[in-house]
Order: sequence, then C-alpha cells, then structure tokens
Amino acid sequence: MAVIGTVGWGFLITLVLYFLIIFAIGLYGYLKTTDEEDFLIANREIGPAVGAATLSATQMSAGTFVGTLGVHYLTGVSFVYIWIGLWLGWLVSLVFVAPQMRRFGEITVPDFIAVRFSDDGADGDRMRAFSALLIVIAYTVYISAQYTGAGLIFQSIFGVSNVVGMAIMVAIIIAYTAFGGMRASALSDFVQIIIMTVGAIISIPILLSNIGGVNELELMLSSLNPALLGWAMTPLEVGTIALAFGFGMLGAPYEIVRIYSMRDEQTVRYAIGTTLIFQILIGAGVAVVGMSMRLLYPQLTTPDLASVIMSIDVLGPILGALVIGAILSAMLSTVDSIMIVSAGAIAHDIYGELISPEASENRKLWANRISVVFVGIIPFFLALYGEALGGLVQFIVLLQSAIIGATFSMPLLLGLHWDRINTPGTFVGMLLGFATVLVWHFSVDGGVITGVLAQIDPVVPGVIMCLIGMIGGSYLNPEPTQESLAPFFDV
Amino acid sequence: MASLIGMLAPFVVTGIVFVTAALLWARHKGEEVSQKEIGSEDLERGGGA
Repeated sequence: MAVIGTVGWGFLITLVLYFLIIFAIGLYGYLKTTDEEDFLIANREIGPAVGAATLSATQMSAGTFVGTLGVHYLTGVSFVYIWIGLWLGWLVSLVFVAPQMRRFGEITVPDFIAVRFSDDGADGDRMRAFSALLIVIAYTVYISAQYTGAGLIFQSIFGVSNVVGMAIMVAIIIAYTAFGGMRASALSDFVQIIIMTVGAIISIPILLSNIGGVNELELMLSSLNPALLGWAMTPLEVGTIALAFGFGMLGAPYEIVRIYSMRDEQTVRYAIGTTLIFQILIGAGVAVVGMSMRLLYPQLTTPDLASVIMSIDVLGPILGALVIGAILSAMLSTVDSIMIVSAGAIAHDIYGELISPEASENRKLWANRISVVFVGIIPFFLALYGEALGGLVQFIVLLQSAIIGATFSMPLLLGLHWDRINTPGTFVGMLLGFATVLVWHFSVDGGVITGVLAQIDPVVPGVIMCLIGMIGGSYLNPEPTQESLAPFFDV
Repeated sequence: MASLIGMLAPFVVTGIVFVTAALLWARHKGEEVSQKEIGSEDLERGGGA
C-alpha cells in the first residue's frame, strides 16, 4: 500500500513544472485580455483543436478521474455506458443547439434567455435575472465540492491538512482565472486534456503488466465477482444516469460559453466531433484502470482513493505526478469554466446589463475579475462551514447537474426552434423543472417513490415537467412578440 | 465467461460511429455554407443561369 504523504522529489518537481506551465498560460491570457468580451469569450478566437480540448476538459471534472474511476472499481465495466448519454447530448447539441447559439453570438446564456424571452414586461430583464441567479447559485455551490476533492488529494499526496490543501487549490485557480479569463482557461484546458488522455491511456499497460495481461485481468475479475464483467448496474440504472448527463450537457451554460468563444459555427461543429474522440479514450481508459485497481488493491477503504494510490504506488514518480496532474487538471478545468460562467452571470448579466449598463469596458472587465475572486472564495467557506447550512450545500452539489439540465436544456432547444414558445410558458417550465427535481429527489429519499421509478434520475422527470410547463404555458398565453422572435426566426 | 473486451467493444464502436457521424455532419454543413456563399457571389456579379 502507498505510504501517503511521502512522495519523492521527482514527483514534486514534475508537479511544480506542471503548475508553472499553467501559471505561464494565465499570464499570457492576462496580457492579451483587454475588455469584457475578451475576458468572457476570448474575443471569439478559439479554433477547432483548442475548442475540442476545452469542451472535453470542461466536461470531465475530478468526478471522472476520482468518482467514475471509483464506480468502476466497485461495480466493474457496465458504468462505462453512461458516456453514450453524454455523447447523445453532444450530438443533439451539434445539430440543434451549439451552432445556432454561436450564430446568435452573445456572451452568456442569460443573454440568450433575455433576448429570446424578452416579452416579460421588462425587456427580458426579469428572465435574465432569474436565469443568472439560477446559474450563480447552482454553480458557485458546486465549486465547493471540487475544492473538497482537491483538499483530499493534496492531503493524500503531501500530508498537509485538508484546509491547507483546499487553500492552495483556491489560490492557484483564482490567480489564473481572474487574470487570464477565457483565453487562459481554454489554452490551459488544451494542455490539461492532453495530460488527462495520456494519463488515462498510459496507465493501462503498466497496470496490466502488474496483473499479467488482459486474460489474467478477466480471469481474476471473474473469480472475484463475475458481475464485474457484465451488467452489475442494470441497463435501466445506467440508461437513466446517461440521460441525466446528456440533458445536463445539452443545456450546460459552462459549455455554451465555450461555444460562444469559438471562431464560427463550423469551428463549433468540428470541435464537438473531435471532443468525442478524447471522451472515448478517457472513458475506456478510466474503466480499465478502475477494474485493474480493484485487483491490485482490493481492500481500499474508499474507492475514491484508487486513482491517488495508483499514482503514488504503481506508476512511478514522473508518470504518477502526471496522472495526479491529470486529476487536478480535470478539477481545475471544470472549476475555471464554472467560475467564468458564474462571474459572467454576476458581472455581465446582473451588474453590466441590469445595474450599470453605462459602465466603461475597463470597469466591466474588472467587475468580471472581482466576480471571479468572489465566486472562487465563497465556495471555499462553503466547503469549510457548509454543514452549518444544514444539508443545503450537499443537496445543491448533488443536484446541480439535474437542476441545470431540467431548467436550461428545453428553453435553449425549443427557444431556438419553435416560434410558438413564449416567455410565460418558459418561465413556468423552468420553475416546474426546478421544483420537480427537488420533489423527485426528496420523494426517493423519503421512500415515497420506490422500486424501478426510484432508479430514475431527477433530471428525467424534471425535463419532462419543464417541457409540459413550456408547451402548456405557451399555448395558454399570447404568441411571442415579433421583436423577441426576430433574431432567431424569419418573421 | 463474460469478457471485458466483449463489453468494451460495443462502447468503442458506438463512440467511433458517433465521431464519424459528427464529423461528416460538420463537413456536410460546411459544404452547404460554401455553396451558398458561391451562390451569393454569383448573384452579386449578376451571374447565374
């Protein structure tokens, strides 16, 4: 077993080098950023390769390298099929959402909501504020979970306390996101996704050579528990989680902002196609690594430790540091994207559009930087003292993907393609989607919903209710105004 | 006996099909746009049949 907290100099130097590269990218981003549009969407200069990398790196968080790997450790291969749901979400986005959002060409998702659903009696301001608030709450709280994960990793590797580990992580990420903005975030994503892919792939032959090859792996897993090589999780369980991820991805504001930052619609299409290549490699790699670790270390106290122990104990100092770098990269790339979206919701949508539309470009740029610091530090305290708020923090962390999926995916999809959908209907739909996620979650927890239904992720009923609310509410109210339809339809 | 390769192969094949479909769609839309652009250039020159 790994002696946690005692890593060698080779390991440390590799990790420090990695962070120096990330800081250099942050500095480059800072020097190139001159205004708010530059800060939030990199002046729309991102090409297909960096675009694909940034979509992939943003999607794959520490959850992939710690959580998903741990699920494979516990349940075997079947969980790999959740990726199919994500890919379906991407394909729907490729055809129906992403290029259209890029063509629309604004800066944030609330920008779209405010223009398409502008007949709210306040020129879209109410819908903008409502959607911005949803994003800020769901995402800012979610960051706290990523900090907690980072704290554990730092604690495991360096033997420092959890709080110190988190503080290091917070300092690093705020420094390069607040100054570098989207350009630094996208370029560091490019480096990070390469490290993640190489880390996931290169670990496999090393682990397999420790086990004795693929045949030996299959034989040993089969003798340990045959279900590890079959459907240990039922297709329904895997399918519903896959759907949840797919809907979550379709409407995810942190991915849409990446889409806004690309050069044109064609770049968006190629980036989405290419992102799937990274995901096949990492998805299959993480599955094999998780199962291999089950054989090499069958008695881990928590499966979430599998990736850290593999890095310290199996891979050697350089590769081990690289894989730890990959895990931290996954965390950093997701958090920096979420920070930019949350900061944009505060600085661009609430401050720049609602409170002080006359603010200068420089003032808006600094409003974004200060907002990044704000949305970066609040989750640190939530991670430390979140328990004082009861189960609220844990609850939002658990359900943020479902909340965002159930409230944003249908307004984006239908808003772009159905001219009968109006503002009251969309507002009702978003509220119903949000409420359904909460009710479903508590009903399953409280034993009101049981059996097969209890296996269904809250996002599925959430999306269905959002759809019903949008269609019902739209037909019970007058048609949308020509002004709100003009940017999207021939009217 | 269940096989790891047997479980992973459909996953990888599905992924490759999705990637191919996505890139073909991207190319198709790209060609569509360039044909429209050529068409509009013809119109600007007063060309066409």
